[in-house]
Amino acid sequence: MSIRILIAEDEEITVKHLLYALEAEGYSVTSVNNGTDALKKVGQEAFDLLIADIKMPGMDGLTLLNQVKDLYPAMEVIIITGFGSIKSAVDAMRKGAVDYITKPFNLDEILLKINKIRDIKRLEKENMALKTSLGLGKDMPIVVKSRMMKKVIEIINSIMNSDCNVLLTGESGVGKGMVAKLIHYSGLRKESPFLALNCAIFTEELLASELFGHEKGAFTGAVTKKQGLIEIAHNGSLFLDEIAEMSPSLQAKLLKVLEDREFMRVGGIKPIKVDVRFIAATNQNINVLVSDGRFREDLYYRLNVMDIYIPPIRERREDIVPLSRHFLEKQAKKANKNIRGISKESLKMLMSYGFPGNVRELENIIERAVILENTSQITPASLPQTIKLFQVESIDPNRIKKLDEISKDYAEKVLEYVDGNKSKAAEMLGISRTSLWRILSNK
Amino acid sequence: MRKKLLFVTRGGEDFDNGFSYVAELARTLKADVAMLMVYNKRVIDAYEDIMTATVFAEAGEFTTAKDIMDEKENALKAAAENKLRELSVTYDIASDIDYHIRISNVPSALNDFLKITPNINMILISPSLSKNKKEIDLNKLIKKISKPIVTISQPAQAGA
Ligand SMILES: Nc1ncnc2c1ncn2[C@@H]1O[C@H](COP(=O)(O)OP(=O)(O)OP(=O)(O)O)[C@@H](O)[C@H]1O
Repeated sequence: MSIRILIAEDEEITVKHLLYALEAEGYSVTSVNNGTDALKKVGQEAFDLLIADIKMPGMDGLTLLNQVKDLYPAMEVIIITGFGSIKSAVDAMRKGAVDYITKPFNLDEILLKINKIRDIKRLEKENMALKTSLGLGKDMPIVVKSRMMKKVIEIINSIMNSDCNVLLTGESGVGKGMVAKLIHYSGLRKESPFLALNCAIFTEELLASELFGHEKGAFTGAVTKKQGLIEIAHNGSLFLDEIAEMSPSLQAKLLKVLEDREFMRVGGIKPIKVDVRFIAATNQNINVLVSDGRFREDLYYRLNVMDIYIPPIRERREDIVPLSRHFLEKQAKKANKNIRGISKESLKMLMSYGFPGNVRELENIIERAVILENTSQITPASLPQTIKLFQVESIDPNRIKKLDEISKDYAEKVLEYVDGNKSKAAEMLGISRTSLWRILSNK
Repeated sequence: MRKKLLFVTRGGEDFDNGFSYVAELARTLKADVAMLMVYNKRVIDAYEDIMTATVFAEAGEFTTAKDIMDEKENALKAAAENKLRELSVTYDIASDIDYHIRISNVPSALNDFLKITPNINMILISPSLSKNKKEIDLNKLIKKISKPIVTISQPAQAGA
């Protein structure tokens, strides 16, 4: 991960030196030659570090430091002081600068300081990511046995070098969050943070402030300025789970971020530039929502540059046994229990069950079984009895839509073949003209 | 906020059939349960006071007609609440069940309910509703409803 640096310095030669050294190290650096411009710049773009000379015409470095720290407490500031003016350096540190450098300077020393700040920033971002992430380990093994899951992995591999937004569809618990992580960590942005947010678990106001952050005093309770996840995810990826639950007004705001690559904090007046890859997910049939006007079509197209459908576990039963073994191993270790296998009867029970909660349900069933089991293998008695008593059948709305689309595509092809003669097409398809009309008018 | 499962069932004697499955699933998925009990219009029609209500309504006394309807709904709610309390205890559901009563047909009750209630993760249809193709046509339902729908059935009964 790299950090973004702004240099505020009026001495051209110093700027040149710094630019040269920092860019060679891979940092993205912008420079201005006075304090007022610096203040303007930090309002427009998200910087992680400001390096400011204490002596500048107009607004001096200390005033700039004061204002920046007031407005953007998370931004780090390094002050450049003249040789021997240790007192002003101490002053700067008291006002919130992380460090100071003295002129004439030693570039290696500066790089050391900045690299240290970069590492701290990365940790901060990752901690934040951890808090909001789905609790999946970055290097968690993924069970891929079925042809269908192999296909999903193939698609992920094929977009490794593309930076497109992705829409993940599939029922609850099929592994959309896990796939989102995989896409991020196998992609171009793997060194930058991966952040996740579930759009269903917040009220509209809270979600807005989580996403966009807010300025101090933007609303009651906004006692300090806060960076939103879009800002923190700068250069990285933001995973928006359950995107379909987002309110229309937030959808409009998000669309703006995708279109203009900039946003404003709640209560803010200055747009901030960001570069974020969006990975969105939903377990709903977003087509129904789009045609009902509940989800913006333009936003849908922006997010759906790449569409990955993860099939439910009941359609890839080959995954059930390896997944169960994988979870057993993990949970037995966690519970410190010596359970080494799953009895035939138990596997049979699992294999014939519908799993509306998909992989998550299977994982939790095994977790509980491990706690309950007293023998060295999972027996049916420690599995939920209701899965034997009841039979469930799930209908994945995304899947149905796909079938509809398939019939429409096919009917259109046949129609083309018979030069648009609907009666002939209907006859060939073995359906009535009305049914043909219904299939063709399917949106 | 936790995920929420919606259990849709027909109000009446065996409304809790399938509930044990939903309760267990909720426990497994660490989700909450909402319940939508739909009373058939016919059940209501059987009530004598509907007649009275209609008479009042026809006479233009809408308030009175509405009062009678409300009263009936309240009576239904009270009865349902009692049963639900028993259910919560039986299935050891930590939080109270968030339940809703509608007098309507199932598809429109469900549609209307989903419009005003976000955050429902999965819709589970009770066994008696699931097997009643007349009442619920899943193929039609999924054209309008964007969320996953799960039907519950009891093979032991089906086989009998
Ligand atoms: N192929 C797999 N191998 C190993 N673990 C898996 C696999 N698929 C899913 N899981 C695990 O199953 C659980 C559920 O997955 P995840 O949270 O990614 O699902 P989801 O589709 O995002 O669910 P939701 O729609 O409810 O947010 C996670 O703990 C995940 O690690």
